[in-house]
Amino acid sequence: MNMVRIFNFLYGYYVVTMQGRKYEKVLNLMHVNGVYVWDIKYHQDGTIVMKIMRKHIDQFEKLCTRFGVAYKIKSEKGMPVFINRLFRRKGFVIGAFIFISGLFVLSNMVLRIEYPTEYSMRKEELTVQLKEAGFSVGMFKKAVDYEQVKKNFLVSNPNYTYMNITTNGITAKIDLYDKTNPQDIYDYNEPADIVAKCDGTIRQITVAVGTPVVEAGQQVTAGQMLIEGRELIKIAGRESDIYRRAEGKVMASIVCEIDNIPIFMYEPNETCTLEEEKTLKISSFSYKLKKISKIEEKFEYRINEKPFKILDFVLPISIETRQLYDRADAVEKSESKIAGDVIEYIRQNDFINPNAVIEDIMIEQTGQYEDTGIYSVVLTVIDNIGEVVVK
Amino acid sequence: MKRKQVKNSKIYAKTQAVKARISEYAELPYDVLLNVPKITITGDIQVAVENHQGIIEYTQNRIRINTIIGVVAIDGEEMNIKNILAEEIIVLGSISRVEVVK
Repeated sequence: MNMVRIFNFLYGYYVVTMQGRKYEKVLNLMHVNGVYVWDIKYHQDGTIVMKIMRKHIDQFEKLCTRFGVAYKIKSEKGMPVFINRLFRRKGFVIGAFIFISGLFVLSNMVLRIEYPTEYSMRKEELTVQLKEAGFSVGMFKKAVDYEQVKKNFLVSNPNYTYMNITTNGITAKIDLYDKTNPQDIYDYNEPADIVAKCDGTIRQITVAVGTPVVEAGQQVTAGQMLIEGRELIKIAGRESDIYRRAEGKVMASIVCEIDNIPIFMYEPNETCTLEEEKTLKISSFSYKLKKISKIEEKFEYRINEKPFKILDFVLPISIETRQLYDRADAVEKSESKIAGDVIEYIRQNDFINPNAVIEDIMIEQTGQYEDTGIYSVVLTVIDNIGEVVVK
Repeated sequence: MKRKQVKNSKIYAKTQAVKARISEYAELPYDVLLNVPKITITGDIQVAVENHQGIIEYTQNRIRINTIIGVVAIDGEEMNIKNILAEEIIVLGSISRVEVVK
């Protein structure tokens, strides 16, 4: 009977009422003529409520008219009614279609990149490298040539020997294997000296193996011996010298010159008001939400990108806020501010060893290109200048 | 005319008697061969009448259904007709009495 109900629902039915003296006759004739009716209920007021299939309503009306029975269609139910109603609500249908299409599109995209463990490279750097290799968040899974991505990544990152990308739903899992270089094996009996790799003034010398040949305060030139591998030892009361691999640290102040450092010369004054330009970024597409007029008369102060998140899940949608200020509100940067920017530039571009300590800095402006000053810097840094040379 | 009707009813009665015998010997259900109504009562909530010949009366407390053997009268309260099919009528409600009126 449930099957019958399902069919009735699929084909659609009317709930009708009839009232009159000869309704039994109408019921009998309906069943004789193959008109299917069900759920016939007698009400206190003498009306009969029943359900009838859509296709039989004309026959029902004819019979009622023929026998003088008053009838009324109370309501219309079933799937066709539902579909009709649905298609009348165009906004809802379009919305549902867009939602389902959006869901389908999003489920075919990579929306999250997952790194199961920590690698020698930071996750942010890995993401950038992957993007350069042709794989990023917001790409269609089927559009990615995984083999090419692996190849590109491994070519540009020789520190890794193996890479695998597995996609599960909207998440891509990146497996990497670090290249493990064989440990340097030194023959500590092999004679070697430590020499200076550049000019400098010795500040401190620490010797583990060997004999120091220079002392603190002494000026040395590149290639000059600092620690000799020869050692004087006493064996059975007799002095003899042996040659071993010298070990030690020689800290020296080094003076180095760096030219052509571009630094933006202006900053906003204290009273200026910052204007914001907002851009909506969806994967590689961008749309400006808030535009600023006469942008060529403005200086950029700061860029801030804020991604959308659902709990910990970062969506490939973000809003970039670019802060700008008027040229009229710009003041020249102070010397200390320029020095700070220069040091930041030097550190970012690996001009000096990351462990080196900057002792002194002398900055000189050598030129200017539009709003950017070109600077030359004389740096005094303290760094290890020792280099092992095998004899 | 009246004589013809009497003759026909006699033939019908004889046919029915033969059919009843065949049913008895062949152990076939009577309702199949004789086309008599089969009334199934489920508790006091449902009455199913098969081989019916239409509804004579339908009110909230009484339903009368025509059959070949006479009128099946069903008394009760809040009675609804669940289905009217070619072979079967299903009556639902609080049934108090089922009667065959010849």
